[in-house]
Amino acid sequence: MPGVTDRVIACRDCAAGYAGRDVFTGVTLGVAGAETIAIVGPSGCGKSTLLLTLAGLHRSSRGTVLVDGTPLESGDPRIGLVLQQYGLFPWFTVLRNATLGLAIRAKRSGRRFDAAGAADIARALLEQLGLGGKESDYPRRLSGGEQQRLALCRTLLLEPEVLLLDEPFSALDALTREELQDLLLTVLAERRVAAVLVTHSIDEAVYLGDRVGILAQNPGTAAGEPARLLLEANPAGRRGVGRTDPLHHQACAWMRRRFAEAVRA
Amino acid sequence: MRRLIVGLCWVVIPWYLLSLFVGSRVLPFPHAVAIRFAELAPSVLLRHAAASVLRVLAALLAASAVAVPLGLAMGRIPAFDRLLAPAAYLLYPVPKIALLPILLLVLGTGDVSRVGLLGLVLVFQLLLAVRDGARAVDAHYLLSLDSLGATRTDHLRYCVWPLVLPRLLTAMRIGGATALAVLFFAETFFTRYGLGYFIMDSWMKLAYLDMYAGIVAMSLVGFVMFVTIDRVEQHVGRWQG
Ligand SMILES: Nc1ncnc2c1ncn2[C@@H]1O[C@H](COP(=O)(O)OP(=O)(O)O)[C@@H](O)[C@H]1O
Ligand SMILES: [Mg+2]
Repeated sequence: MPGVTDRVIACRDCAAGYAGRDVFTGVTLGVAGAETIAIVGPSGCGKSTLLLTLAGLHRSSRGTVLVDGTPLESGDPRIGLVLQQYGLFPWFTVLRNATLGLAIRAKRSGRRFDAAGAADIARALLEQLGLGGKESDYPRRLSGGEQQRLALCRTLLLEPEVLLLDEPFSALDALTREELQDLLLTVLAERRVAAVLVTHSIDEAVYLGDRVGILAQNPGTAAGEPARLLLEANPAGRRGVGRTDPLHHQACAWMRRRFAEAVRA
Repeated sequence: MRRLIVGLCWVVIPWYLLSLFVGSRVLPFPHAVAIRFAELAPSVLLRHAAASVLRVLAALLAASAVAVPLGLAMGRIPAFDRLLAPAAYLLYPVPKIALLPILLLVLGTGDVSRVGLLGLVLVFQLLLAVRDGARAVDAHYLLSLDSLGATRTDHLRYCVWPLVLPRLLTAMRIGGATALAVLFFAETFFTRYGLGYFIMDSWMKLAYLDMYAGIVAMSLVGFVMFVTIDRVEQHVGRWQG
């Protein structure tokens, strides 16, 4: 088994938090290309903080994050982050929201921004993600699912090596959620990016992750102690096992027990 | 156009009644004023109105040129706000007309003083609107920009400015009313151009019809100004509606 530093994104014994208090500690993680790690944890356990740290948008108090073996810079172009509340700009149209990252990245690397070319690429991906014809709408007019598709589109257009997704489907109704979970599986299979997804749903983690992580406080620790990450192979054997497949249910049941052990003293 | 007609009805009907009541020598009938206005508009009034409008535009530009950068800096950099906010709050309530003698002494009796006075009336209102808008920007948007690799300039361009601009326009609309009132006053001396001058001059010559034509012109200038700002506001804020 290769060491964690061979992975596309890796961190060893990482900790981060706010105002000198770590929210999580001792996190060691390595994601291979085309692999997805799905991390479950109760709300407030530090899932968003972990992703922001992996994205280079939050300073770790210990340990460094490496991408392809080199340290992360702030706003690293190799990382694509989809934020929990989508992070769309209500004052820009769907198309402008989609291409904004391209414009910013172009300026950052000193290239001239080819607005027409970017719009063409964006239109094609919007179409593929089911947002065709909505290019000149404002985000306010989109449903929750469409907003999430747009957020995903904006990030995918940047062609990141690592895709980080913060509870991407939590705010959606059950049917839309299943639809988008399947869309994400397709996108991940097509693009073969390394992905870390956090969620508070065990079912979702089992359905989407090649490996499943649990981010929670160790049993027996006092309240307010930092959380730790526990990584398991997907008990279903692979991601994308049908939701009605008994194997999926068994795997979820197994993860539930594992989760209960992990959070309870 | 419909707004203009409805607005006119609200003015013209009471005006007729009032003219009947106080006598048409002091308050001429609207149609008489309208005829005089039509006579004067192309030659005389247009020239005076242009002078007034140019002064207001220059003042709006000057006030924005000061208020926007300062307001953005105060809104985004707390230390800067702590430094400048006390001064802004101290000067904001001072009636700016009271500063006119100083302006005349320092900037002379020309249009620089008049524009300066209007600019002073506007600048604090614009400054505080820009600052409050810049300060109220939700950190979530900035984080979202950061995830795309944004710089501080990108923050301003893609997030702070789109949120500040509607507030700036609202402040311009509100401040514009005060500015027009002050403009009238500022045009009553050391100048032979502007609607303020024309109105006072006609009054002193007892040319009441001319005076009323001037007042009509002044209200039209205000009307056009407000409608224009309204339109821009609607266009800029179309993502909200
Ligand atoms: N900007 C912040 N400043 C201080 N504390 C924060 C901040 N953001 C989150 N926290 C705290 O850190 C902990 C983890 O938050 P978060 O990473 O958002 O959890 P999750 O995403 O798992 O719900 C919570 O206790 C939260 O209150
Ligand atoms: Mg969160």
